[in-house]
Amino acid sequence: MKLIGNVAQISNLLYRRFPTYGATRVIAGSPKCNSARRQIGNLRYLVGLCALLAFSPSDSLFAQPDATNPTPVRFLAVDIFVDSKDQPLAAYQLEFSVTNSLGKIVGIEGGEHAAFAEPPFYDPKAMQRERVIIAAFSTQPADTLPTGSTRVATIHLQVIEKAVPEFVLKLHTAADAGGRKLTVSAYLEEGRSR
Amino acid sequence: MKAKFKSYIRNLVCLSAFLSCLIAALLSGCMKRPTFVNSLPGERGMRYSATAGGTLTNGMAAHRIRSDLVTASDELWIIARSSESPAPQGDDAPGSGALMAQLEERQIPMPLKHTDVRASLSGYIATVQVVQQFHNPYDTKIEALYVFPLPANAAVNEFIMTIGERRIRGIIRERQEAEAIYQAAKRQGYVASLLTEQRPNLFMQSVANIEPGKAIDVTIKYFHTLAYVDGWYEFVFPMVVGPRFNPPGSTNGIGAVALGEHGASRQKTELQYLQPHERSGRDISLSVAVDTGVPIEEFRCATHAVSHESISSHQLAVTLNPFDTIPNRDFVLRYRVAGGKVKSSFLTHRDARGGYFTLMIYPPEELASLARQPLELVFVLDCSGSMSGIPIAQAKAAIERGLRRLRPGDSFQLINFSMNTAQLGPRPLEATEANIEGGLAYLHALKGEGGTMMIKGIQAALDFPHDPQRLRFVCFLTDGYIGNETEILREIHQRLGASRIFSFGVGTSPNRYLLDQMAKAGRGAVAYLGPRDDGAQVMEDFIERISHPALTDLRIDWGGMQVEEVFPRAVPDLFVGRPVILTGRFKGNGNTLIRVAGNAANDPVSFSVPATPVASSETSSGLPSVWARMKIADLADQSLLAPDARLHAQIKQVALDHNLMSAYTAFIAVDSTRQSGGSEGVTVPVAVPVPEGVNYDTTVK
Repeated sequence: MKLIGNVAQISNLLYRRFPTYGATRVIAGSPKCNSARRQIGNLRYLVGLCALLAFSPSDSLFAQPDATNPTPVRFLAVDIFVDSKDQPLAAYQLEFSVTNSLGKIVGIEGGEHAAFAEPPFYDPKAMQRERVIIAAFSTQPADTLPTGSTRVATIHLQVIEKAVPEFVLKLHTAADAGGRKLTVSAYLEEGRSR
Repeated sequence: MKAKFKSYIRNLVCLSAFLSCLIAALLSGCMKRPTFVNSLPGERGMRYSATAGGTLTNGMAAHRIRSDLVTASDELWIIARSSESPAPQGDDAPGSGALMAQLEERQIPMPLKHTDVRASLSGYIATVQVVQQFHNPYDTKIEALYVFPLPANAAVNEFIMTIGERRIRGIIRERQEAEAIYQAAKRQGYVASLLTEQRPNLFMQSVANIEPGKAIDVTIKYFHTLAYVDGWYEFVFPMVVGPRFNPPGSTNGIGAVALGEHGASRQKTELQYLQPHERSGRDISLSVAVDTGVPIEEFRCATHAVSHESISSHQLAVTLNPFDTIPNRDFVLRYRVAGGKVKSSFLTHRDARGGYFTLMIYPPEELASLARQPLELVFVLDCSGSMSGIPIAQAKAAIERGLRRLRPGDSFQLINFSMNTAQLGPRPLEATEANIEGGLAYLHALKGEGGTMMIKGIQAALDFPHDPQRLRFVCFLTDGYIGNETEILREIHQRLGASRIFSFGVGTSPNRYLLDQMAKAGRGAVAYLGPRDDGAQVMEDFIERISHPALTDLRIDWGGMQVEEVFPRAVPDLFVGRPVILTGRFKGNGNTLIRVAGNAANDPVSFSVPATPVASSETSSGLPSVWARMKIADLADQSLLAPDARLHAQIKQVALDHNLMSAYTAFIAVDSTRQSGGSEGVTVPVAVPVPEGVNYDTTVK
C-alpha cells in the first residue's frame, strides 16, 4: 500500500506541488485510490490544456475572420495609353471596365503630358458598375500636344487578393487640335511605381 | 490486467489529444500577427508615441528632450523652436518672432498647413473650390484627421487628391464600402484620402500614410444657393466648428475636448481645440469673384478685413487680407444690387439627365402696405456657457429692441434655457408698459453658463396654447452649439402647431445647419448676428417684416413646363424682403409664363413671372447638383419624422447618381502606385481654435 499523498501530481513540472481542492488522504490499492488515480490522470491533461489556452494568443486557436478586413485585398494601378503615331493628340474618349466583378475603381489619375494632366471626369451611373467613360480634350496649340504613345490616364483599383481581375478597354474616338478624327490605338499596362 | 490496459489506452488517447492541441496552438499562434488594438470603442485606433527629439522638415530644429523624461507610453507633442531668428517682418505682422514673444504663444505643429478657398458667385448660385494642404512635420508616418464645416446646403460633387504633380480624382461610393477601402489602403501603406459627412454641415477628411516631409493636397468642390434678404445677397464660408454640448449619456454627438485628450468626450465625432494661447500656424486664403449681371451698389464684409477690385459695374473681386487669415470665425460677404431688390428670376439647365430649373419668387410691392396684425412674440434665449460674453449681450440687445417695438394688443413671453428652463411668467403677458419693463428687468439679469438642453427650451416654447387672435412667432436666439440636432428638429415637427419659428444665429460660427432647419421646419426664417452686427437693428428689421402679412398658401401654375420633384415640397410663406427659391426638374418647354397665387390677410393676391431659359453656363451646370442636394435634404427630413431604411437607400441612390456627398456616401481616393513600409503611422487629429468670442474654459472638456 502506498500513500499517494494529499496533492495532485501534474507531471514532473515545477508546479507539481500545486494543491488541488479538497485534498484527501488516499491509500494506494483502495477503490478510492483507483478512482483518485483516474481523476488525477485526467485532471493532469485538463489543467495543462486550460493553462495553454489561458496564455495563448486569443486569435491562435479560435481565430475568427477579422471584422474590419473580411476579404483580403490588394491594390494595383492600370495605365491607359493612346498611341496617335506622329499626329498630335488633342482629345479622346474611351471606356474602361472591370468585367468580372473582382475589382473596384478607387481613383482616376491624369496623364503624363500636361495636356491631359487633369484627372478626367467619370459618369457616376456607369461607375456604379465599375465602368468608366473618360474623355478629355486640350485647347493647347498643336505643337505642344503629345504624339506617339502617351499615358492619358491611370485607373487605381482595389482587387481581391488572389483573384485575377479582367479589364476591357474600348476606344470611342480621338481627334487632333482641329477636331479631325484620328486613327489611334489604345492599350493597358500595369502601372509602375511613381 | 484488462483494466490496466484500458487505463493505458485512455491515458494515451488523452495525451495524443493534448499534444495535438498544443502543436496546433503553437503553429497558428506563430502565423498570425498581433491584432491592432484600438484605444477607442469605435473604428479609429490612435496611439501616440513619444520620441526624444527629431527634426521638422520645415527647417526648424526640434526641441531636444532628455530621454529619461520620456517613456514610450507618454503622450508628447514635439514643440519646435527655431534655432535662428526669423527675418524681421515688422512687429505687427502675424507670425513674426516679436509678436509671438509678446503674446507668449505656443506653436503646435499640425498636419493641416493651409486652406485655399476660391468662390465664384453668379446670380444666386455659388461655385466654391476648397484646397486643403496637408503635410507631415514629424519624423514618422502619420494619418491626418480633420473635422471641418461647409454650408449645410453645399452639394459636394468633386474630390481630387494631389501628390506632387500627380492628381487623382476620388470616386463616390457607398459610405461603408469607401471606409473599408480606406482602411485596407491605410493598413497596406498606400496614400489614401476619405471624405465623410458627419452632419449636413460637418465633414471629416482623413488622409493616410503621409510620409515624413511629404505634402498631400485635397481639393473639394461644391455648389450652393445664396441667401437673399431685404435686397442683400449673402455668401458665407464657415471656417470653424463651435464646441458642441451633448446631452448626458449620448454617444452620437460631436465632442469638444482639449488638445491631446482624444476620446475624453466619448462621442463618435470629436474635435480637439487649441487653448487661447496656442497657435497651429495654419492659415486660410480666400477670394470671391462676384458677377451679378446687374450693377452692384454696395458690399460689406463685417467679419474680416478684405481688399476688393471692381472689375466692371456688375463684377467684383474680393480677397481676404493677408493679416486676417486665422480661421476662427465664419467669413460673411453681403452685397446689394441696383434697385434695392431683385426681380423674380429663373435659371435652367438641360443635359442627358433631363431639365433642371431654379426659380426665385420675390414678394410683390403691395404686400408691404397691408395692415399690421396683433402679434404674440415668444423669445427663447440660450443661456448656456458658450453664449457668455458678446453672444448673449447681442442677443439681449436684440430682444430688448423687440420688446420695445411691441404695440398695445400684442403679447410676449420670455423663456431662457441652459441645463434647465425658466420663464418670465406662467403665460404670455400683454404688451403694456409695466409688463415690458418687468420683462426687461428679467432679461437683464440673465447670464450665460451651464450646458445646452435646448430640448427643454423648445418644449417650454411650444407647449402652451396658441392665442388664435394673434400671430405667434417663436424667436430662438442661440449659437446652436449642440450635438443632438436630429432630436431637436423632431421635437419641433411634433409640437409646432400654428406657431412660426424664427431662429437667430448668434456668434462668429453658429450652427447654421441647425438654425436653417429650425426655420424651415417652423415655416419661418433665419437671421444671423455676427459679433460686429447690430443685434437691435436685425431685430428691428425682423419685427418690420413679420408685421406685414405674409403671402400664404402659395400655388404655382407652371405653364408648359411639366415640372416634377420641386423642392422644398411645401412652398414656404412669402414674407416682405425674403424671396422663396424653388428648385425642380422639368420636361416640357422651359419658355413659359409662371403664375403665382396666394392669400395675404385673407385677400387673394396673384402675379406672373416670365420664365425664359438662359444658355447653359458653369453656374447653371451646378443646378443638377443643387437639385439633388435638395432632394437628399427632403428625404432626410422625411426620415427625421419616420425613420425608414428605404429612405436611406433612396438618399444613397440619389447621391451616387449625382456624384454627391451624403450621410450614406463618401469620396475615396487611393494612390496604388506607391506603398510605404512600416506601421500604419500615428493618427494626428487637426486641432482647431475655439471660435472667436467663445469662452474656451466653459465649453471645452
